[in-house]
Amino acid sequence: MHVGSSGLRPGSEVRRIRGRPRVSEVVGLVLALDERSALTPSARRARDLAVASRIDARQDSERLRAWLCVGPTPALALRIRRVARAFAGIRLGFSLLGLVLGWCTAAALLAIGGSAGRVSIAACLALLVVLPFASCVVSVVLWLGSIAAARFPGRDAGERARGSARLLRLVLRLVPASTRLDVEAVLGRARAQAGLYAPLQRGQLMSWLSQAGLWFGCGALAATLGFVVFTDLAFGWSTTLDIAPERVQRVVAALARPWAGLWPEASPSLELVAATRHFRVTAGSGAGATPPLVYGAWWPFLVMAIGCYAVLPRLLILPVVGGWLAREAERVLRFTPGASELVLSLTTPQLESRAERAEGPVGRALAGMVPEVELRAWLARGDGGTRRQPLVVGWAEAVAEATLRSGLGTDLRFVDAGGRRTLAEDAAVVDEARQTGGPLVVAVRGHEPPILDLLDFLAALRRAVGAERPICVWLVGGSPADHQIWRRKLVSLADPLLSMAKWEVALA
Amino acid sequence: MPSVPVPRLAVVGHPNKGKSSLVATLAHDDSVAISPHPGTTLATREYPLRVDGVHLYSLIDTPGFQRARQVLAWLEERARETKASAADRPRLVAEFVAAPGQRERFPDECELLQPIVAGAGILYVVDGSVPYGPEYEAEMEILRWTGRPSLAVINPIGGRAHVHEWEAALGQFFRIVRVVDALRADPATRTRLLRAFGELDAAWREPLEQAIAALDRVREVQRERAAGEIAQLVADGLAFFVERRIGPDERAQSHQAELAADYQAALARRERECRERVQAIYGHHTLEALDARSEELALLEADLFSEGAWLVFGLTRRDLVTAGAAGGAATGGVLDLALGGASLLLGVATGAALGGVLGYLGAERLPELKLVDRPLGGRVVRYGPSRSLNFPFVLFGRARYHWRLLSRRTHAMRDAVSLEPAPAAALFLAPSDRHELERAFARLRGTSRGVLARAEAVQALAGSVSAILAEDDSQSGEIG
Repeated sequence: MHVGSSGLRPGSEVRRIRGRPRVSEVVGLVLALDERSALTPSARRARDLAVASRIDARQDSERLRAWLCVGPTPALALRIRRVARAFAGIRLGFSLLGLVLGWCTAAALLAIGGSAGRVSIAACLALLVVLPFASCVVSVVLWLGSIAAARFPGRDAGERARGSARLLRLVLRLVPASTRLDVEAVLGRARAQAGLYAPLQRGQLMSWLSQAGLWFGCGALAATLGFVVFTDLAFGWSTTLDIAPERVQRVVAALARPWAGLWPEASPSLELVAATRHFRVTAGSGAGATPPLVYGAWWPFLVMAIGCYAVLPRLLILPVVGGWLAREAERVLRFTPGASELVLSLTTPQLESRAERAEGPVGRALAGMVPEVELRAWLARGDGGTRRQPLVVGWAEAVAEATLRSGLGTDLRFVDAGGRRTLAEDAAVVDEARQTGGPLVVAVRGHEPPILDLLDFLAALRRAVGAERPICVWLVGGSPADHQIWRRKLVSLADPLLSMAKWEVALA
Repeated sequence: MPSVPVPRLAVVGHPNKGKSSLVATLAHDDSVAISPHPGTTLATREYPLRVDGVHLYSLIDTPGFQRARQVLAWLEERARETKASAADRPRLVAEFVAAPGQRERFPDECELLQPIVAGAGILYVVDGSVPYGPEYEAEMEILRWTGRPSLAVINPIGGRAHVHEWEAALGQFFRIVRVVDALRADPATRTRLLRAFGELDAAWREPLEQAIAALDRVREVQRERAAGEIAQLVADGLAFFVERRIGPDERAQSHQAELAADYQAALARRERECRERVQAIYGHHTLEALDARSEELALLEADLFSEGAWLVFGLTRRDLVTAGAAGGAATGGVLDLALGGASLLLGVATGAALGGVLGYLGAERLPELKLVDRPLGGRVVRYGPSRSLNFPFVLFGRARYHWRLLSRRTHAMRDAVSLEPAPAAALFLAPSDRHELERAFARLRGTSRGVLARAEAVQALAGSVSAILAEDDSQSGEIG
């Protein structure tokens, strides 16, 4: 698991992930996301919040991997580590298997051949060179084919992945049961989402097989060198067919072409090929005609052939497969169901901006409206009680005196109240209203809302002039909606002789 | 927790000047009571902004001033009696709030001054569409007496006719004056307003900057998530088809009308689902009920395959021909390259001509009906997926339009939405954006197999969509 390899340990402050993503991390992520999804949304968020500040990552996949190191509960972290160890164990197992197989195969060939007097160079080439090389070529072709097939219509991904999944399940029999169950749970999901996980399964198998192939070559090489150093090997070749040594030499020379320039002795000469051919039935002095050392002269060729065709290709393929696997693992990490939601949760601050308590009681408009009148008609009718000069109070400089006189005529008394005026000046206006007997008009700005300051003034006016004199609130400007608001608000004064008029003028 | 005191801002002013609207917009809370009737807000209500549990600032909605002159008179009288200096004024305001009987006589003023006395900053709101009046002076004078840092916001509720007049008046009482339309304040405006709060008190700057960063990030994430939803919608739309098994003697054409209806209904459902998800991302839960009242939304309600929708949201024939020709030329160019130029650019010419013709024909709105033989026998008649070059643009255009509507909608808006600018201008696609979308759509069409390849194609499209939405997001500003 990456926890070990990246040097990260739960508990340290800020974690930055290093190294390439691994398949075991995908398994771990699926398990961890399962655990996360079982939490309530608030618990999930609280945990993400606690973890987010400890993660230092730019890419989504890095963030997920870092989260994997600190996010899961200790119990799950242990399970994830076990999965990682199981993967590492399988990898090691494949390597050991390859090494042992390689060693044993080479040792068997050389030992059996040695005891029989001749080590068949053809058998050595077939089992230690051609077979590993061919398996390497076949596995690469199959792997590339599966990658290409995923891009073209054909069998669905699930069908294509079935073989590799079966093989993987077989391999998993080697790991402890608890870990196997974890991995198999993920594989079960892989069946449902084969398109997502199948390439990864194939890639992982390819990687393990490449490991095994590499170590097979290494084992074979080591065994060959061991036998060369510690025993006397007599290589030879024979055939029932009538094949001239020249033809055999052309084949081995072609095989030895990659290193012939560097190490000429490792490219068998025609003389060597001819001298090491043997027959069961010999016509003359037999083997004694060729010096014994000549039979061993094949070993440089055999060693180089194993190195070049069994070890080197795997050595080259392994990082390619590893890189591809890491890239696929990175893609799968990002697109694993639930991963994007986790990334979002880790990277998005949780905003709460709503009021902590519910909205309290709100003010409601009263039912009913004060009557609306036409001001000129109201004044002309003498609704003011008498036909005396009207008193117009300009509230908060609602209208200029000149404008007012041009609109209503000059026979009126105009005074200011509200706005910049003091309360004492307001009181003086109320007093004046009490003394005059004419109609009372209070001009206000229609676009401004009726506030208690004005309502207090109107109430004071009413108290001063008595219950019999009508008062008209004259709205200067304002929209019909504003007028409605005024009419409703003035009802709160409960004044039966209060009315409202409007003057739709453009305000300066 | 921040070591500095949490900034608290009391939003105060005359009744009905948009205080609650401003609070609703800044607090992203559509539960704030907003009404044209004065005196709707009777009690203060605090809206704390917490980021990951850390309290960064609070907005306090307050009732409007009702008897400001009387309060000021009380304060002046008290100052005279106690021979108080200017330095004592904040104490006098506190005394006013605490004095017995004041809460009964001046409930609104006590309620609104309480948080200020307790240390909140002042956000004084006026309406820039009506003229300045002397009745505001007592309010501003009281606020000056509190000695608290203050900022004035001109909220042009019904227009900007008197904004300059207000700026001149407010400038005498407040160091900072900003113009913010509470109903239409875009995120950038909100950010600038928060930054202006930070100018009131140096100690507030840090938490407010943290809040701005968090709000920006949330906005970005919302946009990315919306882009992801839109990209997924387009991807699903491009791959979507309906099919029906038919008998050996049945005619495929006899199923066309029914299949077309199923196809369109399913896509409409998918589109609606996408809209609901995008709305949920932006935390708007009340828009759906208002859809029918908006003329602009009628465009979205129109059938996806209607001529009107394709005229407004699709590419023009010319764009389609250009797009087709460009794609064809690119394909032909590959052939020319493969032949080492021996074809004398015939591939490019032929590809462009063919692509242009296909592009022209690609304007067709409805997909074709196909008869498909099943591998195990039997036949199905399949309707879709759409091969029209225009189809993903229409789908994207409608989703983008819906997103614009939502993303610009503030939580203060409680009635029909009007979208500005007009759709045609709002949905302009820069040629580079269009080409990027064309590429992303083509990539989506080419990945019918391979979950990862498709997911990556959707992600790439989401990236392109997000860039376009980010550009849309940046095209506004409402602050002076």
